[in-house]
Amino acid sequence: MRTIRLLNLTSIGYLLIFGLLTAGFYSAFFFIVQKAVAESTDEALYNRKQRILTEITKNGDKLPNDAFHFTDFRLSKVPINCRAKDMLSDTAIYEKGEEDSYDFKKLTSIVQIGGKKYRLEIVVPQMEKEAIVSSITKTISLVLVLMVFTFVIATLFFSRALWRPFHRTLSKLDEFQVEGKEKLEIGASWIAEFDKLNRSITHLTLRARGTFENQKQFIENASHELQTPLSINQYKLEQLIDDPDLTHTQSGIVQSLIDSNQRMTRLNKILLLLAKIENGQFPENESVNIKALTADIIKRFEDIQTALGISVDISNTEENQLLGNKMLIDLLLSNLIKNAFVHNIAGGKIIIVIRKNCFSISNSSNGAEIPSDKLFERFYKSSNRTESWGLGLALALRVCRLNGWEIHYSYANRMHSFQVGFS
Amino acid sequence: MKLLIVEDETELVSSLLSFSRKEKYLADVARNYREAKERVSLYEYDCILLDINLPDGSGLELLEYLKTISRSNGVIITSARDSLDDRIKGLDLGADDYLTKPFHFSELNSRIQAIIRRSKFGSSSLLAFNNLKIDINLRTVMIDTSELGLTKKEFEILQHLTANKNRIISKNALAEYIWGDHIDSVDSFDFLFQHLKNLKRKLKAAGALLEIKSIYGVGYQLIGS
Repeated sequence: MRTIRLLNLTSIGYLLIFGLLTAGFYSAFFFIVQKAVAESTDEALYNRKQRILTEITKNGDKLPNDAFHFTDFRLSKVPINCRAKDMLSDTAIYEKGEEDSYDFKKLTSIVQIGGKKYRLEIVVPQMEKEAIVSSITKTISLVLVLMVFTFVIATLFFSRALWRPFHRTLSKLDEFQVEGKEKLEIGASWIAEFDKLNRSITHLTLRARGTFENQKQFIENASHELQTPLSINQYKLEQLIDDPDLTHTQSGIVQSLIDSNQRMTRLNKILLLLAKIENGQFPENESVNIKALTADIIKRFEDIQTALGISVDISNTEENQLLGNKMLIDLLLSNLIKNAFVHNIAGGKIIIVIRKNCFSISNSSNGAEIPSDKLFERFYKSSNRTESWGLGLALALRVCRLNGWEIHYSYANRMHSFQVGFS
Repeated sequence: MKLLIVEDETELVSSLLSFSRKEKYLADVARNYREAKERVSLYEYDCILLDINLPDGSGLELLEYLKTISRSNGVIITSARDSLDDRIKGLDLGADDYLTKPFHFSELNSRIQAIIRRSKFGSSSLLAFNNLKIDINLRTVMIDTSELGLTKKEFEILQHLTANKNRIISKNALAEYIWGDHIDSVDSFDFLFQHLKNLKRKLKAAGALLEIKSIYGVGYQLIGS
């Protein structure tokens, strides 16, 4: 699944809210400024009218005769019965020699001077809409850029600092192994949520490990307890076959009992071995020569090799001294080699390649590819051989895991291959 | 030939006693550490079968005790725990051998005989039966005065059969002696059969005064003829 970082998601959210807020703020600001400008223009017009009238009254109702002396108002005579309210309007005036027009606000009112009525028209230049828009845009953009910048920097800084304990917990958790011995040490955090998380995780891992330990202990104890009854069975059966009075039929039955008892004994031994590997009861490490060990193990299978006429190719080898527990390395390699012999065909072949950091073994077979996810599971059987339990590869996997090695299965040209990577 | 069986499990004791009777060993039984300590301080034994897990102590303590009273008995540790630690400790403390339960009686017998051979003056490595002589150290087989050429596995089979002469050894016991746990029993029985066929042929051709009898498909028995 595609994932997104929490930080990115919250940042996107915040930036969206910022954007919306800025847009709202922008329009509100625009209307308020526009209204304020309009009001102050109107007020200026009325003030001007008052001053003109006061000036005229002071001059004894004498009209200013020079028409061009004042460019912001004009008086024109109207009939005496004319009456009208003051009227505000927008007008555009072209200046001489210029293409563009300028916006003006005009106050038209009917005034009475010395018994006569005049139409007084006053104009003031009006602040243009574009000018307002542009100055508001400039201001707001600057604020926005500053805010976003500060926000991003702050978020990066805070999140790095705030999430540090969380990431520390995560990396500790990644390293944690239920089957391992090391305790999970994540300690306390001064952030309440993380502290709670840490405590929950510690608790959980302790419980998981407890359950795991119990299970391991259970298998080990059960296996040990089984040894005695299995021994008794075996001793009694061996006593029985030594009895000269035994009939042919009876010895047949005794033989089947010996066989199945031996199977139980072996199964029990393997379960015990699995439990011991998981309990880390093979701590002694030594330097093991993989090439020599491999040759030694192959010798153990010379009977089956001769019987089936299997050719074994171990020519492609490098010297490999591996540090590990010899018994476990023997267990790993002998299980892989045994499989290669047992699941082979008459006249088949086995190819072993030993490199400095890997061991690979391939064998010819009649079988098809085995689903590799199940292959290493306990009690998984790819064939119907009743004498196999499907524990060999589970053991091999345990040994690899214990040492931090990798084991892979592949299938090509009717050859099953296993690779062990020592690292 | 005196044997001390240190074992607390009654059923195992009775089987071991019947085994001893059959092999004509004189056997005493100690069912716990206290009894075992008493027995070893009073009597000499040629071989002690020592269980490690005793109700009132560890078999390893008995080994330490044997050391302090400087008794040089042959000791075979028998343990249900196939523990490397115990094995190393046991052998360090002077045990001669270590057998994990369950073991085959033929295996036990071979180990007891090995201990007896070693304790004998001049530590003989010879096994003999009628006109057959096996030198275990030199790994040679003689019929009268001529040497019999055997493969490694044939030698091991003959040695095991001779050490357990007149006993019926199950196929399982023989296969496990030869291959250990390395191959599954069904396969190994066929191989065993082949090796025995060759061995019988060679013995007959060399004029050995003995015979390997197949017993109803359960096992084999070496008898004189």
